[in-house]
Amino acid sequence: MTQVVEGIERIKEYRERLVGLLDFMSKLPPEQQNPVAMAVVTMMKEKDEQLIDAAETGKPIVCTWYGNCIEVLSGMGIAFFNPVIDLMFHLGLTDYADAKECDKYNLDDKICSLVRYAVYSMENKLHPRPTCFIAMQEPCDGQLMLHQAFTQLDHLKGVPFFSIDPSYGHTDKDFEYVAKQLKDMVKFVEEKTGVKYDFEKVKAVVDETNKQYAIWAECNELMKASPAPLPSFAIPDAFWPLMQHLKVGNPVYTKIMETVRDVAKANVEKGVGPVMNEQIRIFWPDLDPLWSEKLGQWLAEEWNAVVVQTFQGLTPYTPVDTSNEDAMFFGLARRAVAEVPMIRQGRGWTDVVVEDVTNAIQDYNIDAVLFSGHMGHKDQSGINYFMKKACRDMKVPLLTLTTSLFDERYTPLDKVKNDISNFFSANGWKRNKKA
Amino acid sequence: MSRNTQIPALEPLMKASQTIFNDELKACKAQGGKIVGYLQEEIPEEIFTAAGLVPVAVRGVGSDGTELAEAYFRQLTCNYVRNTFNTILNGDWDFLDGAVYSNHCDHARRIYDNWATLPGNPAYHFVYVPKSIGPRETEFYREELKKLIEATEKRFNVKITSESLTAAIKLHNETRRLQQQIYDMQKGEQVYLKGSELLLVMMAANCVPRVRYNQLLKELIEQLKAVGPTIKPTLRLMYTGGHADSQEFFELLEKQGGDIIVDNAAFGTRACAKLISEEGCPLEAIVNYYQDQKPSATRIGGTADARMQRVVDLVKEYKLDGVISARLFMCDLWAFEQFMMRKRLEKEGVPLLELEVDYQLDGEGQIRTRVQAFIESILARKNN
Repeated sequence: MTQVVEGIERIKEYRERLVGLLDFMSKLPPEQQNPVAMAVVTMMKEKDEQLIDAAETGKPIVCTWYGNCIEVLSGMGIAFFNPVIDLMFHLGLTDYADAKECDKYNLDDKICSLVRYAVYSMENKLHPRPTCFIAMQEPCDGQLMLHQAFTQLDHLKGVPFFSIDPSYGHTDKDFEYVAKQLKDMVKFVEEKTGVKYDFEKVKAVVDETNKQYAIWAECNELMKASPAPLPSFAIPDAFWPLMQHLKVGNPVYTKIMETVRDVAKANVEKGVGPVMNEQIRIFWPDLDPLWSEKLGQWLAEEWNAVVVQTFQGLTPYTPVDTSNEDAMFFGLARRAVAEVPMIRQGRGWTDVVVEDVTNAIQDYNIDAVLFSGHMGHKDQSGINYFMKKACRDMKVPLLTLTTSLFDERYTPLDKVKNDISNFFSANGWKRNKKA
Repeated sequence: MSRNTQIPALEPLMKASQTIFNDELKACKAQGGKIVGYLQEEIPEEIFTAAGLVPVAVRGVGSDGTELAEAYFRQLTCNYVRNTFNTILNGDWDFLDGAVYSNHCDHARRIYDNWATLPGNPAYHFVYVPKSIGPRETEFYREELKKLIEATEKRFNVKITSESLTAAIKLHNETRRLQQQIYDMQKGEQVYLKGSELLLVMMAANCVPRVRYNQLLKELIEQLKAVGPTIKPTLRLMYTGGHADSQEFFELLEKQGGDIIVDNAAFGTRACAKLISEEGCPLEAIVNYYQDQKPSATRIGGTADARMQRVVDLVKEYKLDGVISARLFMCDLWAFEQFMMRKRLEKEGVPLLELEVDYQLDGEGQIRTRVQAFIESILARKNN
């Protein structure tokens, strides 16, 4: 029976907006339609519908986070949400309405914008009350603390809470430690939701993600071509939500990813790409910014420049062995703490950052590194020396900005563009004469 | 009312707490002692003592700026870390024979990465301290401590035995018992120490060889008891926060008409609230103490209720009128702690002042005004 549930109004609002967006997209002339974008929006709508159904019919709902092996929840068929994904997606469609409300929220504004959105949205009941929480304690202090803050909100008191301690290194011992906790997590979820875990169902999800990550790796390979076959940020922007935020392991996603790969492959074979006179190949060592599309378009038009790889796209995603349960959880643990972007680079020592930057510069024939200097990444503020040294050793210029990846108002885009232009000019690159 | 009689044992403790290479450490070094720097709170100092070393908390007290550190840390890093690293680059810590760091927070953990790049640096080990508590975390932490023991033995060519660990536990427990006595003396209507004195005496435990510290603390207690409680607070306040350790800052708080009676600082009440078991396997006792028994650091997941309750309990135990909390600019851990504390203390009807400060005292006028307003509002409420 359908129930009236507190916190579901906002999810319905999201769904209605996505229905409208899909309607708009489908009415565009065929040459302007983007089947990948439409598919991603459709998946987001379906996620919201699953959440609404679960809330209205009393099914369990888990509040979790990327990097928490959502393959398990997907395989168990449990509705879940990450408190910031919908909110951030809809910022661009609502003139940053929630971000403006969040400006007034009484939590230090020097904390990561994304982390602030999460606490703001939970306190303001923009989600149904979850059956339980799965907390992420990595890669930063903000993440660690936001989950603690949830437990102190009056309406969330008593919601059971499970947290995964990530360890610091990249050895098998580290992954075994996390794998044991993932097994504990399964027991916790079973106990709190009443849903039984079935190895075969989770294995099917993980097997599908293995295929999807393999396609992602193929796309990365194709981006090594010059001109790059796809626009700045395109691959990680499209694939990241499919792999870590929506109901992962869906074969429909595999088709979407194959479509992207095939377009890239065809472009490489034809020797074409969105920036034909490619002048500057850029590495962006961080998550993609929410304002990636605007930045990417400007880089192409003004400087014939392309962001060919980012930390969000560059990650090994070692295939997870699903031949038995122990192997699968070990592989999922490794994926969760050593391969999911930002967690991979932010959780432990600086060696991974240096290695990733060095490899990216070499493998993607990078001309320049643009470091976002995201205001929430306090650990990155302490890798200044390493980032400079890695770029200097590779003889590639580095620009360190100060931005918020999740709030373009923090450093206005015009200021970012100006800093980038000065940097490019100082390094001898010429503006596109057409611009 | 203030104290008119000199307390001789106070001066060496307070002086030592305000100097990196203080006279006590110089004397130790002159006698061939070896000193290890560490990040205070979650790395067991007992292990260093058991190895015959003197543990000293690495911090930036007395720093004259952050210019040198700017090449390593951007402005998003807190000033405690930038000042501390500046003192490292300045050579102020060159007397160290070793240094051990942990993943305490996103800012401080990068000191280790950067320190390790400097020629001849003393950083020899990093301890991962789990971010939550439970049997799996305890098991992992135990293994981490075994690695620390092994690394320390190797570096200093010593053997850490069960006997030496037990002796170290007893020595550090003695410190905790003496510190508990100091705090007990702050519970009466009149108290023995001003807040600035109390906090610096506590901080001195982290920068004075332990046997000497215990001796000075015993003398301090005797001398204070001989004089009696001479300070009658107008208002009874608690300080809570992360990393503040300068005399000027604590004096600024108390000069405005309120008195800091007690604290909820890592180097204060949290350092001495519990004793380590002196029975059974000493390593196990250390693991249990740091993982399960000691009041948790801000960052430990699943302990928020206990942390908030501890603040409320201290307010009741010391009959406090209010709480002053201070976070450093850019500190996410304490920004959240204040966020949670605000909600809890409001429910309890306890006045709370939230300050955002720099590690080196800056914006003195603004802090003074805010503390004054806070004290006036409590006094007005009391008088009504």
